[in-house]
Amino acid sequence: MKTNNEKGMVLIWFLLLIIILLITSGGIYGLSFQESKLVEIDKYRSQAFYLAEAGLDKKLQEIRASNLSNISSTSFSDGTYAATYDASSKLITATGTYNNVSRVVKAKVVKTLPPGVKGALTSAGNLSFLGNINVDGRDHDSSDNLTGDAGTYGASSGGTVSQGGSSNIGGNGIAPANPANPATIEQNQSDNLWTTPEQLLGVSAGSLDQYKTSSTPSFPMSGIVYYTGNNITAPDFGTTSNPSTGILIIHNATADALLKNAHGTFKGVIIADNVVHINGSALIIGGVIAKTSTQTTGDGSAEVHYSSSVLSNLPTSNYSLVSWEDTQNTAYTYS
Amino acid sequence: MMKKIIPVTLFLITIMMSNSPPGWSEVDSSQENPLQIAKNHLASVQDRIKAIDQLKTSHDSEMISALSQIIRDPEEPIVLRAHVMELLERSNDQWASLELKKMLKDSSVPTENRILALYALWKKDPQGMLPELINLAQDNNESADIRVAALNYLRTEKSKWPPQFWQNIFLRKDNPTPVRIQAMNGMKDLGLFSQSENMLVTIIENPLEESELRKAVILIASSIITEETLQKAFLSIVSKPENSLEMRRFALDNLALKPNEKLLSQLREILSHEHDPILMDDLKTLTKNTTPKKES
Repeated sequence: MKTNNEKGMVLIWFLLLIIILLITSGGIYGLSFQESKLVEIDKYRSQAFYLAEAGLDKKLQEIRASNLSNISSTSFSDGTYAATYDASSKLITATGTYNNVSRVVKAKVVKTLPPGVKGALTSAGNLSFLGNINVDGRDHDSSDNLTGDAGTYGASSGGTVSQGGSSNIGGNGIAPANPANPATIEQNQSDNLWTTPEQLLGVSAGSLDQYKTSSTPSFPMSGIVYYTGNNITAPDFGTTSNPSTGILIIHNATADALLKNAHGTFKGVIIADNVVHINGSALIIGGVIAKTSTQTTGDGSAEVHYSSSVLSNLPTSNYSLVSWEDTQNTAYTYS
Repeated sequence: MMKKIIPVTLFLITIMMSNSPPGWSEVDSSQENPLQIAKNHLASVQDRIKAIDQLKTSHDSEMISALSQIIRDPEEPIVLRAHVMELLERSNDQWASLELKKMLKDSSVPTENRILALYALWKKDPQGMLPELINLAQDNNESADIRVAALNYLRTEKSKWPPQFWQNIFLRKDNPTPVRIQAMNGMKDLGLFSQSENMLVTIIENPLEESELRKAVILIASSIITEETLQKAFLSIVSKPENSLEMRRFALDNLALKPNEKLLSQLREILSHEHDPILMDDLKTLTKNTTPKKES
């Protein structure tokens, strides 16, 4: 028997088609919704990453200003950042959070040498050596022993270096001599700029203001002394068993403060507008930076020895990043 | 079949080996050659220095020209260039001297390298280099650094050149200040300043002279000129406003080193006419420190 009731099949097929279309469009809608959500999450992750970087920068600046404490959650540009510093591992961990999405970045920092030190004795202007001074740019340890490393220049000048008397200059692996081997001297260095003590030490502007004093410092000193008077004459830095240590800055408003007739033992860096006569029993281990040095030494047996070990342990916090990690592992949730 | 394959394979291997790039089949032999290591920019500075030191006993004819390329290259580390210079300085090969002289004469070579060459030549033959050093020291067209270096080496000669030679360089105002200071250092080392008190005082008091030179003369003069004459010169500098503030303060600083009661009235006189606040402060401090305790 043949049935004629086949017209309903069209309707069934039509209904099936609608169902299929509904399911498909629903799936597409679901997928696009998920995609847009992912795009949004990705945007949040990027924002969180930038916030974490902001936290990292902020903490680095704080460490340079000797502030080692943690940064608690701080609002910034619709999000927050926080940062911690582990002094033993020298690791900064910064977390940025944006719309409940967090990213963590970690960075290792190291103390670096003061950028203003180019030689055992560095100056922006001309240098003149007389008397019996020994200036040695070969690397020394903090006990004044040669480390075997070639080190740097004995004298690095933005102008010309002149030598007289029995002064000896060495560096770059070459023993001090008179006349000096030219490889131990750097002349006409246009980047030996006399800027600010902060820039010479590689620390943030104004971070040394707290150490400024117009009173003549007493020696032996330790830590940081920033003398703003016109001159320090005949300071006795101390003995080898009880030396001055740290950073001595002699810099006034007119940039012509004088350090004259310095003697005794100093471990660290001396920054002065004008250095005249490092003499007598002077032993400076680390480095000297001068705007100019009218005459670096007079009589006696003064020694200026470059020491990367001393310079990398100065009481300033001249840190820079050495390695960096985007941990990429912070779980995020979204609803 | 095998009899044909083996010779063909061996032939192909031979061809490949003979055309292999440097650093493959020949890596060992090249690495053992100190000259190759010395020239190799990719080798460490320490390895290159060791290689240069090994070459000191070598008689390789290519060595001089190859090494001169290292010293002419300002991008090469200074330590490396200094070692090459030392090698050339000690070499008995006449080409070494010729190469150094060529470098010294070549104005296109960086001054730093020319000074290295001058030093090596002077160390090699101090007496033979004297005429060249004298010419360089006096040559106004030469860079100040070369002239200072030449004077620095000349001052070690104890034969004492005529005082006129040093004095001319020291006194000529068209000479760069570092050259004049180096000439002054030479004169001091050679003991040529006896009975030159007036010459030194004239420079110290002359406001038209460079402050740097005047300061250097002041410092060197303290062992040549009497204290009384120097203090008069300092007072003259402080009292004349045509001197720079820097120079006037430097003179005051020197007066402050040994406060002299006899100068008190003159210091007060200068203070009464002074208008510069910085100098006024300095003068007041010095006057106060110079005044005997009972008077104050």
